[in-house]
Amino acid sequence: MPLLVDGFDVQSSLRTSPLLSYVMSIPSASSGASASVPDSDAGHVETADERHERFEQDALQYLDQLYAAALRMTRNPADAEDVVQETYAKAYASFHQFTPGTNLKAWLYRILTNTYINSYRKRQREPQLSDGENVEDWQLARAESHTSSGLKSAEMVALENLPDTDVKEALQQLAPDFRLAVYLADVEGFSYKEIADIMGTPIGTVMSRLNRGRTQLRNLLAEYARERGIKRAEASRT
Amino acid sequence: MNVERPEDASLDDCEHVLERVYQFLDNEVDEATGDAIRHHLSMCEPCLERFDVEEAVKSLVHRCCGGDVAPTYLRAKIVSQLTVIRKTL
Repeated sequence: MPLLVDGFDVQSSLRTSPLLSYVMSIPSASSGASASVPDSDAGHVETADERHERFEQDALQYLDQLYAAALRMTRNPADAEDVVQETYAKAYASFHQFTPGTNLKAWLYRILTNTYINSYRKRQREPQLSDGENVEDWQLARAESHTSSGLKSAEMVALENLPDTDVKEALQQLAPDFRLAVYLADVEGFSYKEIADIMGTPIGTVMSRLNRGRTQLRNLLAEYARERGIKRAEASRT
Repeated sequence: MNVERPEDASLDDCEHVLERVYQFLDNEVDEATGDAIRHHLSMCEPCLERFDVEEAVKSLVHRCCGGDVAPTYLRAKIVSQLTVIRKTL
């Protein structure tokens, strides 16, 4: 009989999911030195109980952060909850492959990202800005002159006073890859190398996504700031 | 466009600095490059303005786009899910 957790067939999806086998094949990101089980007792093999406890203690502390990231990816709470739940199921099933002492948070983000890309993004048809795939970076750089930030100092003040909702909304409008790169860099503070590992792309691609994502974001925010500035000016006039 | 440029070595070219503005902001440049960029920014107002805008956007995103808290039932759901999966492993 299939094992169902809230309608999610754990057993068969864990055994047969191509996703999981992909996750399973993730190299343990070991930097070599600290590849030992935390229990320093030589010859002690971690029991299932101990591993279970270690997972709950180490991995579950990132629940809120993973949920926030999933919310930015999926743009709705129900899907975000599903992505996070699936992420923890997969992480748990392949936790024996995780190398203690390496970056657990980045490892979890990688599983989260794979889960989102493989099972959710395909379902989501959402309007968003073009990722401008056919525009070369050097063309963007050329179009970006000194003064093209389009913000005067009064607008800078307006920008810094934008409400959270405006900033979230602007981020949501970016293409998913740009949005995720910006989120990982600016909210989570991951390095380019870590973002490259999480997104499974070369560092050059990360830099290009950040470049384009931030350029679009800045223009959107400048627009919002300007609109709010105009509204404020109108309100003070009446 | 004629912008006053500092007369200095290597990274004195605005275009080069602006190309690296995100890397600089993200702490992804080596020390020498960072110093050269800082030096340029101290002398070139248009580049500094641009840097200020990028820094403002980055800190806005940092401040406004994280911090969501998962609903409490999600944690409970995950914990009980793990117990179930464990029996299948």
